[in-house]
Parts: sequence; structure tokens; C-alpha cells
Amino acid sequence: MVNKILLTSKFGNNIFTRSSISDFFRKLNSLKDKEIKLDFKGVEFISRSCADEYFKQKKISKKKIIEVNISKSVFEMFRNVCIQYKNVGSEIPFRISRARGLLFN
Amino acid sequence: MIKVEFPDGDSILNHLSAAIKIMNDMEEEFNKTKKISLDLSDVKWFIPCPMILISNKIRELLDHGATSIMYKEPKKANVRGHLQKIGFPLGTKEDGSSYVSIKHLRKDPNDKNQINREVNELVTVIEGKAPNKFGDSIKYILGELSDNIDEHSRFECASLMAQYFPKKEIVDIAVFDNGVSIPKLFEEHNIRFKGDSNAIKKAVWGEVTTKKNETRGFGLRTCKELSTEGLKGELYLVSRSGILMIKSSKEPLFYELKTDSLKGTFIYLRLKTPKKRLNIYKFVE
Repeated sequence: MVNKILLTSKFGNNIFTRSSISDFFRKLNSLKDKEIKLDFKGVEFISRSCADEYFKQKKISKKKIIEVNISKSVFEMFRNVCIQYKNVGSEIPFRISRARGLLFN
Repeated sequence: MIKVEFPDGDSILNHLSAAIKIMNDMEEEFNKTKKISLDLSDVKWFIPCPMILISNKIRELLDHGATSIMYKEPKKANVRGHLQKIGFPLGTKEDGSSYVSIKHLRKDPNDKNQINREVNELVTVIEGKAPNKFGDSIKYILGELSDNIDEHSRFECASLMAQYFPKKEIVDIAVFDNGVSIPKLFEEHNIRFKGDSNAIKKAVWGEVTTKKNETRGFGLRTCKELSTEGLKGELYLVSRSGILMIKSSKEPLFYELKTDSLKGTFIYLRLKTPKKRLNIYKFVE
């Protein structure tokens, strides 16, 4: 059975700081589960810095992470950060699909 | 006893300069006597936001072992009442219908989620007082500012206050941290700059970042663009001796404090309510 984590229980309705994201991933990476579902239900906003940190942490994590219930505003921020990765010539870590969550390239 | 006086007129810069001088006098008095004594009896009026600087300094000196605070209240009843309302001198949990009183946040190094959690609570309160036409802009601005404080400043105490003025349709937000300041941080990372205001320029325009990563350093720049272009507002930033002032679409102005300097970074925003709900995502890089 896939472990499902409701993000509002860890962050509240808004995700503001990189340190909270990196701390969350440190704990997530220490879990036994290989596959983890992150439920964004109730997350209204993620800051640009946190979206960037999320990508970085997800990329280095060995877990299979599946995002569900991403809101429009959270999706917009992820999308904008992806565009910015492209603009500075950085590797784009994920294809973005709001309906399907964030997918590996 | 330190005489607290503010200049006539509503020049933010003059009021900030006065508050910074008072903070430095407090530090000096504390170093000599371990006490804080403030005489506000002749204060005739004040701009609320610079008061968080003085309030933060009181909090800091108490944490450093100040043995007493002596505080002479303003003679004028309306000034006295207004100071109490905003939670001066130590901050308060109680807020008004249109304002968030002074809030202090003391760093807990063992709690990585502390800032995220506390800013969540504050944003909920502030957004409850401002029109929803601001969209996610207040969240964005406070989120990036608090992340900068959390990541870079090594602060002991950060402070915030905010107010919505319904008649003028503006929101004032002031944020201060008593950490290392932008110029000091740049010096630690061997980033060159010509004067403290030039360090601010480099930080706000995203010309440099202290972390070696090209996808960072956009937070402050987007805050500037959102507040001055998206919300047609004003932005004041003081860090050590440098000052940046931007009023909407006008050219930014840079100053250097001549005699005093601020230990930390202060940001004051005056944001106009947009005519329709602001889509912040067109400003985000």
C-alpha cells in the first residue's frame, strides 16, 4: 500500500520556507516506503523559492513521489519555476501536468 | 533616559532615521547600565511602522539580559492610545479590525518549520483584513521575505506589523530582522559592492546570490516588481547603512545613512489595492 501524506498536516495551507521543504524531504527520505503519494489538497500557495526547493529535493530523492490534488495556484508556481529553469539553461527536472501531478522527464 | 522624538511631516525616511538613532542610543545605554529607559512624553505623532524597530530592540535587549525597562508614556492621550493599540512596546497577540499589531518572532534553531508555521498564521490574519483583490500578492511577498530571513539573516528576533487603511485603500507592511544585514552577508561571501546601498541594489535586482545556483536570487526582485509595478506601491529597504526607496514607476533612489547604521534589515511596503484581482503569476520569474 502506498503511503499517502497530506501536506497541510506538515505545512499548513501555505508553503513558505525552503528549510521547511528540505526538513520535510529529510524525514520523507528516511521512511521505509519506496513510493509515496503527496496530497496537496488544501495547499493554497507555494512560494517560488519553495517550488524551486521542492524540485531540487524531489530530484535527489530515491523515492517514487506522486503528487495529487495540486491546486491551480500551486500548479502555476511550479510551471513558472520550470519556465525559469529553461530561461537560465538549467535542466528542467519535471514535465508538468496539473491533471496528472508532476512527472519525471 | 533616551528622549524619543520624531520629526514633523510624514517622510518615511526621516522617521526611519530617527528610529535607528534611538535604537543605537538604546544599545549604548544598555552596554553601560544594562537598563533601557525611554522618554516618549513629548511624542506628538508617529508613523506606526518604524515603531517595530524600537520594539524589536527592546525585545532584543531584554533577551540579552536587560534588567529593567523604564518607559515614560506620551502625554498626548491619542498618541498613547495608538501606541497601546499597535502593541508597543513588546508586541501583542491582539489585533484590530484593520491592523495586525506588532508581532515578534524569536528564532528557535531546533524547529525548521517555525517560520513557515508562524508566517502561515500571520498571513491568514493579514489577508483577512485586506481586500481579496490583492490575490496571492501578500502571500508571495511575505513568503519570500520570511524565507530570506530564515535562510540568510541569522536573526535572533524578527518583527512584523501590518495595517489596512480602508479610506486610502492601501496596505502597509513592515518587516524587520535583527540579523546580519545584506552588506554584511555579502562581505562574508566575498561579494564586492560599492557602499551598502549598492549591496542592496545587487540583492534586490537579483544580480548576485550567496548560494551558487542560478535558479536562486529571484525572490526579492519579484517582491519589488509585484509591490511597485503590480500594486503601484512604495518600497523602502534599509540594511546596515544602505537605503533603497522605490515609489511605483519612478526611478529607484539610493541613500547611505551618514552617522547611524541599522543592525539588520528593515522592509516597509505601502501597497495600493488593485482595481481587479491581481494575477501574481505573470510577475513570477
